[in-house]
Amino acid sequence: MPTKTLEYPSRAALEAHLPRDVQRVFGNGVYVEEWQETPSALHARLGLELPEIIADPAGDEQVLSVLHLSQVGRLRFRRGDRLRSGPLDRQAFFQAAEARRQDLVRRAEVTMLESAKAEIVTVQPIGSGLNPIRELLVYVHEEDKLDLALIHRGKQKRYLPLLESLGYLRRGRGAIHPGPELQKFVHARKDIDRTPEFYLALLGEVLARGYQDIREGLNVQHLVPIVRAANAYYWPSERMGRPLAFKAADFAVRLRQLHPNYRVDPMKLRNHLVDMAWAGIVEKNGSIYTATPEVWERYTQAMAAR
Amino acid sequence: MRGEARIPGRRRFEDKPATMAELRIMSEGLQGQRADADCYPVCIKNVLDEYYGRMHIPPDVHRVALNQLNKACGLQGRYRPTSLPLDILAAETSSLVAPARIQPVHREGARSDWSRLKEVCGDSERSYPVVTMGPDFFHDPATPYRVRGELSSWHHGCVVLAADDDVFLFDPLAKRSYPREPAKYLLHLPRTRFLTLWGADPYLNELLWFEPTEEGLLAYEDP
Repeated sequence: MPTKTLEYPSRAALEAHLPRDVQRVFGNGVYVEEWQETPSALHARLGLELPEIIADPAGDEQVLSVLHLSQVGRLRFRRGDRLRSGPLDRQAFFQAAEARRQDLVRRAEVTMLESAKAEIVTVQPIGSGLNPIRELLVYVHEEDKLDLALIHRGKQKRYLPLLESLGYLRRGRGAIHPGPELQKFVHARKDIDRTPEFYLALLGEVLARGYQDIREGLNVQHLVPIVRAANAYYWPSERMGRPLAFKAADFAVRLRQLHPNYRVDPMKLRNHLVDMAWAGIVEKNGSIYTATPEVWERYTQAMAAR
Repeated sequence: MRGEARIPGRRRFEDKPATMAELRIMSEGLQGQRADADCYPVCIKNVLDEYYGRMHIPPDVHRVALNQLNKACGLQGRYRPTSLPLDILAAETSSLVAPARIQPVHREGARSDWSRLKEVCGDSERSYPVVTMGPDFFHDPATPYRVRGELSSWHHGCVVLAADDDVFLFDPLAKRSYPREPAKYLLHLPRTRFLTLWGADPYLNELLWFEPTEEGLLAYEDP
């Protein structure tokens, strides 16, 4: 529910007192990120700083890792005799903060998928789920053309618009042809063209680029839980600055922190962890899971470049 | 041991523990944080528990629960990223401690300084003070933290257990991280260093303590 408003006699007073006042209204860690001016008003864009203790479950080393949520809120001060803000709503601010945090989690998951795409597509249930995509790509690449009349499986029909929108396939005169992205990929990976590795790498790229659509609209079993579980391990490790040693229960704890509404089934999680270890997304030694060096390298580089 | 530390004697307004050994025993009985953001409510819960015990407030007087303090500072719901600052919490806590005939006192800026802090710390009629430390606190070598990322707006609540030439602070976040290592959560800061970290802008020497109301002072008077 909107509460009070803030009011200042001058711009100098506004700039001097607002940093303190936004913490009094919204809470600790809230800061003025940027000032913007228009002829009728002055805008203060608000960010939120969230420190979080990340501990290595296998040792006593801990770090205080700081997450910055930017553009969480914006206050508008109308110009006049006095500068007055609109109503302030703490609940709405927190909802925006949670939405921004979820954005960061989603971006980290996309980075996770991009960093481990080659491994993820080898997880058997995911590979099976992506078979319709693979069938379309293999046929069009090998034959250079696929008659629309040949596409009769429901799943192939569902994936076709995705591959078209991503540019891997294009439609023309009653048939499907290689799209510019497929041609680009072929050019880049000439050395392994038409080999099983080529198709695996192509599938990985499609998966990484179309993750959002595949996740939301196309139900590929095990994909979301495995990407989430992998990110629940790699993200805190990256924030810690080194690979952590997790037990299965640590994955569950981290998953609940990242996705408060996500119901973690312990039996399914164990199964996913075994799949992840088998595919080389993580390494498993007894009951301890740790990073695969190649995935760690790719993930940390991608996170640093973000 | 914990009970002895909280109620060292059997008369009202018992002196606060003064020696290092006593402080250490007392800090072992204090609670650590439950979450990353609940430093203020946990600090207040700790000072109130100690104060109620030291003042022999009768058990039938309602104790303040941590979830009441969490609610008072807006740490509600599943996603609770941050709490309201100490001055708001002081105002909200007032009604919670009223049945015990005590009141919160909040000071900042010109009305709060080293001599006030020292006076509150040494006064057996008052609770231990809660202070707000600036973001640089986490970078201080006396603390057990290794910070990754920029920290410039996050303030941290601690309990001052002794303020003389040096300051002894109880850090509830460090207690959560290192519950069995008193050297990490009972921090020893030289006075000058403490003053730099305490007076970090925009929180100018923020200080909160509890003391009896006038009515309470009469009720809890030493016989």
